[in-house]
Amino acid sequence: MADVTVAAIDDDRMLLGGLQFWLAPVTDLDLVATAPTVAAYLALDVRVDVVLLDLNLRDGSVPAANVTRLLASGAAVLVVSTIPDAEHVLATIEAGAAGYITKDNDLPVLVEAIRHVAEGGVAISPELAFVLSNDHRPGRPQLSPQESIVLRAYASGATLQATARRAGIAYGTARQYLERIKRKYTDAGRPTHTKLDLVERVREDRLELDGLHPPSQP
Amino acid sequence: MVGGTPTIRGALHGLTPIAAGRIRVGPVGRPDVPVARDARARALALMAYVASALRVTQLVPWPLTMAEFAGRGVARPGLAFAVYGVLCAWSVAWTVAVLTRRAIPVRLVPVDVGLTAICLVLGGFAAEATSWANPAAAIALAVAAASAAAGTVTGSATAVAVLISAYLGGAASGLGQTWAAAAYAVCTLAGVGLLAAVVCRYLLGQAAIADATAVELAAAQARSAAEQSRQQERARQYRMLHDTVLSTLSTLARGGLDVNDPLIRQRCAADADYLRGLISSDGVSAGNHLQGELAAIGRSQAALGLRVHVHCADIPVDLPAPVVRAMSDATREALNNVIKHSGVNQAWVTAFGPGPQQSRSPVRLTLTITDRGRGFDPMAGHHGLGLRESITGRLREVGGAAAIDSSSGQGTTVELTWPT
Repeated sequence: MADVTVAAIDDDRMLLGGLQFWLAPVTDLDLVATAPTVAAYLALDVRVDVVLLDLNLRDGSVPAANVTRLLASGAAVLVVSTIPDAEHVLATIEAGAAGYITKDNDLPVLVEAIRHVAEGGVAISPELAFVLSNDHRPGRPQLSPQESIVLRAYASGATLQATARRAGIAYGTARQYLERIKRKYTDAGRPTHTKLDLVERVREDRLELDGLHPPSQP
Repeated sequence: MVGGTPTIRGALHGLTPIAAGRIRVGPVGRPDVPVARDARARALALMAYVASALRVTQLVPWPLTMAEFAGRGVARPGLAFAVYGVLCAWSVAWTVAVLTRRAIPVRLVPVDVGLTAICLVLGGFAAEATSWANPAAAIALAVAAASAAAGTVTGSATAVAVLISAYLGGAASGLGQTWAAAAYAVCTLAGVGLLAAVVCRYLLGQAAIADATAVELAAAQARSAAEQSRQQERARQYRMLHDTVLSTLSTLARGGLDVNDPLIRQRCAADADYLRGLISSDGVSAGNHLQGELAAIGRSQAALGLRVHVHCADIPVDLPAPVVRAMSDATREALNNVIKHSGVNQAWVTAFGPGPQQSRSPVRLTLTITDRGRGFDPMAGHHGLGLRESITGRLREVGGAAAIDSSSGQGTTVELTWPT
């Protein structure tokens, strides 16, 4: 299997340096690019499998917009941050980020998340599960009672195995539930990858607006 | 007037309950709502006592007059004595009611005035010659004063007007009354009514000022207590910062240390956790107090080699202090168990409240302590005094509960909930 190419976008130069040092011994992951901003990364014109994106970049760019731009470049996005700022974490997941982990995790956790995302999977950390399970926004995706139980148990830090046992379901089912929850969020975000999508999205929005004012609008 | 231990919450950001002395302030977060109105109550009581005394003394003159003049001036003695008897009985009942309530009930005033007015008319009809021969005349003075003492201006003005009309009506129907005597009685009634009204207005005005001052004082005391509590919280935070981040940074700044030393890195990570806990809390409250406690516990466990990930969401701001303490202590004990038994060096502490959607949920706080270590079979029995007493016992004392979930090779979760 070919090596996974990785890029890291973070304004913390020490972290970028540390990451290089960290990933050097991991033979199947190649850190091929680092940049302080999304614009600087895109200017490098490299193609990678996975981009590690710092949630709050110092240039003040909108986290969800960063995810959208990176997805357009063909990479999967794994969001990392020091503080799980719920609002922006939710926005990046809805924008289509494949996962979220906090910077206080150990190397094996990071490596496993990158590998998983590179294979097209999702990386749901307990931190992300915690943010999702405490999402009280009015328009949030609706979860089934079983999905809520799995999410809540996984958010407590329990292994997926223990989560499945506690919910009384099989390991594989628990994994499916987590992936389904993640997909619900991504679907709710309705990512606009292509122009055609964008047209569709505008039409949907207009329908919604029309629905709000049926009689008064000409 | 005031009882119980008052608490000030809400607007004061749910600080630890503060006793506001003997002055009660309004419910949740509104220390400016006047509840202490005891000066007004005292003024009304004083007025009630004076009116009662006046009422009893005004019963005395008419029988004395009758005794001295041996029934002269009274055309219909039977009716006159009946009127006097009714007024005596009513006055006694009225006085008892007023003294037990320590105020003149406003709804008693129309009854009092009405009955007296009827007696004035009948008394005037029964009497002749002079005003003092009317058995209700003297008592009408006390009734006029009492209606002023009930506390309303319109009430007392109406009462005086009704009593004067009734007196004049009685005088017109009586035989041989002189208008000079009637004018004397009318002026006395009006004068006493006016005097009573002015004095009572003045007393109630002073009482209102005193009450307002007391309320302001209570609010000021509450503000000062809140400020003091904020200062203490700030001092605690400074001390924590000094003990953690500042001392770590100072040590590093002095140089000569290997920054890659696992111990140093562990300490930096713990300090970062502590700062993270501070950043994610918004203001000072019991909920954030728990958050701070959990971060501090995580930090102290880090020194023992355990990495604790703390996550909090929707923690109610008004958790009772004993609950915060029980939850913190139980968490520390559960983490000690992780160190002793799990065989891993990471643990997760998550705390969450019901959130806006499930605000009617009886459980207001759920706290879990989870590791991904070797676990155990909970059915196998004996799992140490730690869990039974330090965790379950602590929670039971504050009305909470603890549950454990574990399986061999799958880690352990201790779940604390409050209330049960």
